[in-house]
Amino acid sequence: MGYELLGKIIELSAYNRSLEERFRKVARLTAQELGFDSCIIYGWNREDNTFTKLATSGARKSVINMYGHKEGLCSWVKRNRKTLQIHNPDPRNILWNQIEDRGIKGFKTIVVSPIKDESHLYGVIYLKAGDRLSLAERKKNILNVVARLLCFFIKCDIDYKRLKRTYTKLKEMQARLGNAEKLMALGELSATLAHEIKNPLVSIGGLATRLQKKLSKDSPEYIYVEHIVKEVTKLEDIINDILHFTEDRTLKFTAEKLDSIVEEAIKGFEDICRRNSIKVEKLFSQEPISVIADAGQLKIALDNIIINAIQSMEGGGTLSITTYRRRRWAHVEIKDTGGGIEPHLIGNIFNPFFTTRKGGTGLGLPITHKIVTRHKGHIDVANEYGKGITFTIRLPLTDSQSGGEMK
Amino acid sequence: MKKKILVVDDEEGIRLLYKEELEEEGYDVELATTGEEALEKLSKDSDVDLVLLDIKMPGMDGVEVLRSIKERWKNLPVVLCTAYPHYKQEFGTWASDAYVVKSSDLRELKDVIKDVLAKNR
Repeated sequence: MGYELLGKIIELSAYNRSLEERFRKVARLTAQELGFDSCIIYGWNREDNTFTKLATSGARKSVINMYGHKEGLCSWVKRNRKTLQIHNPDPRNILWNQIEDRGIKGFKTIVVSPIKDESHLYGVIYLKAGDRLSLAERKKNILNVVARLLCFFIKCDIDYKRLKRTYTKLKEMQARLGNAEKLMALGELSATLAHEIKNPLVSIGGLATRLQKKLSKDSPEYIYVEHIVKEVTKLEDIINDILHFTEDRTLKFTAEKLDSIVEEAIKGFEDICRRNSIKVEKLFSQEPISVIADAGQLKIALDNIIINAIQSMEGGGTLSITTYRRRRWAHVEIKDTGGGIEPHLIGNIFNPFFTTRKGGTGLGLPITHKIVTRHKGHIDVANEYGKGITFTIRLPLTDSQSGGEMK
Repeated sequence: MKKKILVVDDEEGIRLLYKEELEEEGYDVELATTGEEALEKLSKDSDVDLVLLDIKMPGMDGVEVLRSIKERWKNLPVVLCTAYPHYKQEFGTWASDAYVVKSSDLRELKDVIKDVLAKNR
């Protein structure tokens, strides 16, 4: 007697379902076996100090979804770490030993048992019966074993989730590492190529410009050469971007006022914004924010994001730039109303040469990413397809502002 | 009196371009294909007023040539001229009088040459 119940519960440990579903079965089996009308399993939530209902079986009345850490019979069990068995002579009563618990209303026998191991409490099993019944020692022991098994389930679940998280993180890191290697190889290759291409390009462009000067402005040849010169200039810009992206210059870090760098970056685009009916909203932090940065490089990083934002808002829109401090980080948020990009493309935006624009080099955001990373910062993207994109750059604050926690 | 510029670059098209453009600006232009040739020309011809020097060349590279020039002709101005924007950051190039990133638009180069010659008059 009782072994059958334990056997069934042990079988559930291999059961390929969620913890909640397994708990529902345990609640049902336990209530049946021990002769109770209702069984509720509560989990102890360490973060917000509450008992939360995980599963319930049997009578639906007086089922409490949540107890605070000082509420109800659960709190007594939490304090004393042992099974509590009470008889409630008057079913209308909701008080026991000056502890109020609405869960006992309508029941005469209540048993609450801790789900625990040597060091931690994981929850409680809450059993209720409409009649007066007394739990024999043997049944009490069975209840204890059930609680032990539940504890085991919970611990396995915690370990399983932790393992799964670690595994996912590992996979992500592996993917990123592979990506980084590829990008590095790509970077080296493009630098070599760019250098080899640049010299002949300078001769082509330079000599074509000379030719252009010698031609009469209304000859067809003049127009041909004009095209050559224009295209070469475009190619040279691309090559310069590539060389910029791959160059490994040393950054000069000093304490800088974030707002002045941001202000400087915006200033360069005010005219273009006005011409394209783009409203610029600046929301700068009330308190001055000081970051360790190479001001010139950081400005380039911001420029590239702003250029992208402006290009996405061809028919006008709003460019919002916000700066603020949170914890040990300085934040710059750049938000546009340019419609965002298709969700399946968002993973590519920091890859060199990826672009959604005709004629784009696909190097703006990779350069930004590289600069921010070299500042030991982070860049996050929130893409709302149909609305716009928000880029958030986080940079470490200077020692004095972060309370000396940074090295 | 015309100023004389020595252009050192391994790329034929660039040598042609610089020669014609700089002659139009009123300079005398001498050419050298390698660093070795440039040093040889300088030891024979003492009236060069400025050297326009590429960095990436086969044989002696521009930084080595720059060092040799500054050892032997301390006051001869050298303008470095290359495809890489980031050589500017490198220690080896600090001894040069100016640094120009190559471009098919020669306005910057011409301005720099004018400035350097004016300073070294």
